[in-house]
Amino acid sequence: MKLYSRPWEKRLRRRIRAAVRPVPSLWQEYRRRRHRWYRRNIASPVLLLFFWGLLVLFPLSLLNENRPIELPLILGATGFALWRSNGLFHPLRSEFLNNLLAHYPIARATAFRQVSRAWLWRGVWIFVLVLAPVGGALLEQHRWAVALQLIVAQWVVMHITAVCLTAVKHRRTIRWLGLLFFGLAVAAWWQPAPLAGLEPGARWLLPAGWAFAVAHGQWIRLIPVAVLMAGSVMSWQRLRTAYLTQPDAETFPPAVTDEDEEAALPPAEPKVTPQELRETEDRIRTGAALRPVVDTPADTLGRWLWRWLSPVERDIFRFVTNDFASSLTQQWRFGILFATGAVVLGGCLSATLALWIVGIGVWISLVCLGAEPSGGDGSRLRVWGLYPLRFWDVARTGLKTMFLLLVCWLPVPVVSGATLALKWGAPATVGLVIGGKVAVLLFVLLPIGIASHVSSITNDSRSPHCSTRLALLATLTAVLIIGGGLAFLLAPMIPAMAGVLVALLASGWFLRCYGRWFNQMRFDLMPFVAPAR
Amino acid sequence: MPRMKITLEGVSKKFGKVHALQEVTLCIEPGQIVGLIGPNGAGKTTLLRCLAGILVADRGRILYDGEPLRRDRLDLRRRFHFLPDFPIFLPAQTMVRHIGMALRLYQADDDGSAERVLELLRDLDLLPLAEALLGTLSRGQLYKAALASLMAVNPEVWLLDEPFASGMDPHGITVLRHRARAAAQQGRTVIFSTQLLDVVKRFADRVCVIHHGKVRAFDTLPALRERVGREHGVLEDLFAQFHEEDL
Repeated sequence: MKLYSRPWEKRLRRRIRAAVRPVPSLWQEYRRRRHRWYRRNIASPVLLLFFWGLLVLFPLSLLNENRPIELPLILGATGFALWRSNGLFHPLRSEFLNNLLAHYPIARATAFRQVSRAWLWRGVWIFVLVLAPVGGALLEQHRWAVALQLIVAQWVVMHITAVCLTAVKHRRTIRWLGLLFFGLAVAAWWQPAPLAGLEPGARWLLPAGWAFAVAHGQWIRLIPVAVLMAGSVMSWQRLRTAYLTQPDAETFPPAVTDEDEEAALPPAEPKVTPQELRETEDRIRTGAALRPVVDTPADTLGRWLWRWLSPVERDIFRFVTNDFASSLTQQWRFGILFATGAVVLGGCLSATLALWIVGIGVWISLVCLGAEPSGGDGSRLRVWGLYPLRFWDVARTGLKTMFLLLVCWLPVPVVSGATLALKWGAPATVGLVIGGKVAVLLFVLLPIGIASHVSSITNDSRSPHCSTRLALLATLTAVLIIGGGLAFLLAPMIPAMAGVLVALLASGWFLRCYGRWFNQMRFDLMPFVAPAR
Repeated sequence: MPRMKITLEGVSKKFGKVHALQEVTLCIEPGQIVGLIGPNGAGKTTLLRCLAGILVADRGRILYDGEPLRRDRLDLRRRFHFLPDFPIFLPAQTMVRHIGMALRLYQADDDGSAERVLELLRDLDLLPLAEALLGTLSRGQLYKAALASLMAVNPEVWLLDEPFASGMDPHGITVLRHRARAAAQQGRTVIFSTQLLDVVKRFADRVCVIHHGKVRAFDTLPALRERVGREHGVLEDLFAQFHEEDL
């Protein structure tokens, strides 16, 4: 069954246009409001293309390096198999699909067919976009016909394995295992020597290695594949049966129609007993229920910050963290974990690669740390437009939060800098200084970060309403910060100090101007949204 | 006695090429209930958002007791409260804690506030849900909670977006009408948008009819009837006229 029918939509569109065109005002409105392909958000496809492009081009660029390719492919394909297994399992349990089934007359069998077909098609895309070019590297070692057979066989085994793995209940383990295999594949690609010992075992143990084993004349490896195939058929049937017999998401107990039957039912217990109601009333009357129950955040960093915030800032912090639901310590811990992983991995790799890995790790760690600059996302922050709160109170809350997080994060740039310096054959102190300087520049950027975070809930940066004055200020600030930052990083002591001071003043001035304009009602407290008319 | 006069002078607001509001000039005296009506997309919500300071007029100005609004003028901002059609809450907060927060931010957490909240919750049948998480409530219950928060704060100007299409039960709607009327009698101003003409006829002191961002009428219903020269179906005729104009 098809959910959409393009010919039907086309016919209907034609009829609508015929009805609307004779009336100029309606036709004008129709043309203005109709959805055009170029209005779609192109960010995601562009990012996707970029990502796939990298995946495809990168291995191809290394074709002539004559690296051992089989182990990374075996490990990568196994990672894919685990990942694809989740790709089949999760959509079947998605909230959207369940809602669709609950509200529309769609048979579960149809939904299963749709999901599995989509899964297979996606698999074909993966084959075309990733596996084929990567497997193209095999051409260095095999004839093209053999290479193609290997790739196809690898793809088939990968998907059979994925189906088999849907029987596993621990989906999180599957996800982490997939990630581990991807990591091993990358490591085996870049540093083949330490992992070379894995190859014979990988050929035996990992189903994805079967294709290579067969290519090397070990026909006996067809036996595990036959077992795997039988297992996949059983898994598929089991998955299908489990899905078809699963109760719908929204089921209601059958209504009682018989009066006698109804009389026989035990009296319904009230949800809240009179005693509980009295207690609630007392708690409201004494004001206890109106006050927050949790007085301080549970996490350490949250508690430190709490002591530093004023009562109004505490209210804002409480609000943007959804009553302490998001923990600063956890944000910090994730950041540190990523950075440590990157530094350890970078330490085992070549200097150039270490630079990339550590750089990316530090960046991700920073994103983890600053994903919620004021402890809350923009959508939640938007709420304060409805309440009488000052811009400066919100900005100060964000500044204090980020300042504390950055101070606690300081070991990351310093240790990363030292590691990289040692890798590049320079004294560790050079790295320490550069890392420290980068950290100082981050502190300089804090005010701008806060302004941009607030700007995510206004119309100044997302719409044609961006004023010339704001654009000029942003440009001037960027020039001063880049100039000052470069001077700080590269120049000798006194110009460096002057540079960082200029950058700090520019950043602070930007926040000040932004806040003033915000208070003077120059921006809507909503991102630009086209109204219904 | 709370008495806040709101004046709009040539307020215009554009979204891209769309004129959401065009040269809106109004003077809303305190102590009355004003019903905003108009076809979908006429500019009712935009007008309410402009009044609440969430949207900023491209041209013209809005004066509150003769003073323009600035976002750092908390004293002025504490005198009105805007309730959007889908109130925004923290799902992990309980209802009373949310009301407590609103009271603190509006500096309305005086000694009698607890009794006031209790009475409101009792009135709106919210007592059993008083300590339930907001994330677990239905849409109508959420709107009632937001309404309780507004009524507990009891600002001088109530700005309500589609309160009669909020999923509230008939009892909740009755409470809203009684409380809004009482507030207006105390000199407070209630401005609400709706699509229900019957509600406007029975509930509003003044009707503001908006179409394509322009105010087409702003008067009491008897005055409108007198102008048209007919007793019944005045608003219905206006909407029919808009429909024909659009065609």
